Amino acid sequence: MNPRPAPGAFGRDAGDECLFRDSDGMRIHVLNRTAREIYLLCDGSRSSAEVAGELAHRYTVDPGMALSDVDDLVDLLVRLGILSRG
Amino acid sequence: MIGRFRVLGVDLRVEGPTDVVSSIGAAYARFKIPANSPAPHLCVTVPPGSPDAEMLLYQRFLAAVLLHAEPQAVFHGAALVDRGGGGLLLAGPSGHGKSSLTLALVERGFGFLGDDYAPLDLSSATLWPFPRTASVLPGGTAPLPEGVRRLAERREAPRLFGKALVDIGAVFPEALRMEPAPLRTVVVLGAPGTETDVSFLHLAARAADGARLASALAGIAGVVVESDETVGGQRRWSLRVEHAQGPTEALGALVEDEAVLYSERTWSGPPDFTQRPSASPLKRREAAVLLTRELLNRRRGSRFLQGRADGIAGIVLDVAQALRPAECFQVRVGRFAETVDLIERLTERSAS
Repeated sequence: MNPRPAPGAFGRDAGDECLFRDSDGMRIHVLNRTAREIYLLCDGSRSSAEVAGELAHRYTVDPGMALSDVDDLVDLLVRLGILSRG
Repeated sequence: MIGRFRVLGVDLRVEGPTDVVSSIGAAYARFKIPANSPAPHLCVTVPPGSPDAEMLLYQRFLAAVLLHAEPQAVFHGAALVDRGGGGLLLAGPSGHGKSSLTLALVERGFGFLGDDYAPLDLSSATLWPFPRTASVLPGGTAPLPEGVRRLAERREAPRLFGKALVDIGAVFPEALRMEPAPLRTVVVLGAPGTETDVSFLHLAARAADGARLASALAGIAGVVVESDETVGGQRRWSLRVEHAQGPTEALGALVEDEAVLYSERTWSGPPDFTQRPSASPLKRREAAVLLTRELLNRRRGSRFLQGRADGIAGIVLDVAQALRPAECFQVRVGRFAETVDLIERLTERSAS
């Protein structure tokens, strides 16, 4: 399933970073510039491979390495309740 | 005596002793509305003969405004307009020269929105006017424009809590701005890397309730009483708050106690006005955390909090998003004129 923003996740885009409030309301998760870019591409319309392909195209990096990084980040954001896979 | 005001959209009727209502009326002269205006949202008053009438009525007046104002976040800070029309939010703890810096920038041609309360509309990222008078200690040593000092030293100058009230619009009529300005620069005064797990809280309460509050304070882990004295009808504490022990929730309830007349929290010691000032860029989330400390209308039940996600983190996120159009800096205050120069340069950098 394509990764997409998790329902109920509370986040704000501060421009240089994306910020997400934890469910206890006391902690903030910070996505840096690169992670923010991946998060914004995860809008439900692309698979992880397509997100990685887009990044590889933008930054002229190896698609295989980009996919590994995207998979790792998507796994983490799903665990944190920021993204969902369906 | 009765006064009528409209502050941040809140219509208030203030009733109390003539001298007290007159003082509030002088400080909020630019918020006055005709006495025969439609029925007010709120009425604030104090019991006849109250020994703390000035403090109590002013506290109730401000509390009513901060509880009912919407939709702006109201920060303890100054709001100005740079020469390019961009809004400058100047925040930081008391004692860092906020008012003097504000007046110096106004003297250099900045527009004036407000000196002590800075309302920021989070959805439009605009700073709103809050043209309360400046409060100046007569005979004080703070650097001030000559026109401001002259007005403050007049014997007939209106006073509140011993400070002379000076209408900045009367001294610098061309500087007064009554329209919102888009936020472009945020300057938080304080030393970069300031320790954040300790703060200092100053409280004043009605002496009659002092024993009850002292007992409550003694039961909160992480609160160290550095001084405790009774002055006139008030009991005053200076507290060191060690956040690692999690005292915030219990302290928050205590600060909101009806008997507490005044509270102020600072996060760093006074600056060294003989050193060279310096500035460092802040990420918007860092600026949002520092600004949220200075947010005045986050009391439980405030209209500003209604409909917002629970928890302080939710407010920080909303503030961070509102800072998107702005460049944010932390400024370590030093020699006065150099600090003014530095802030002016930061606004020029934001404009470019």
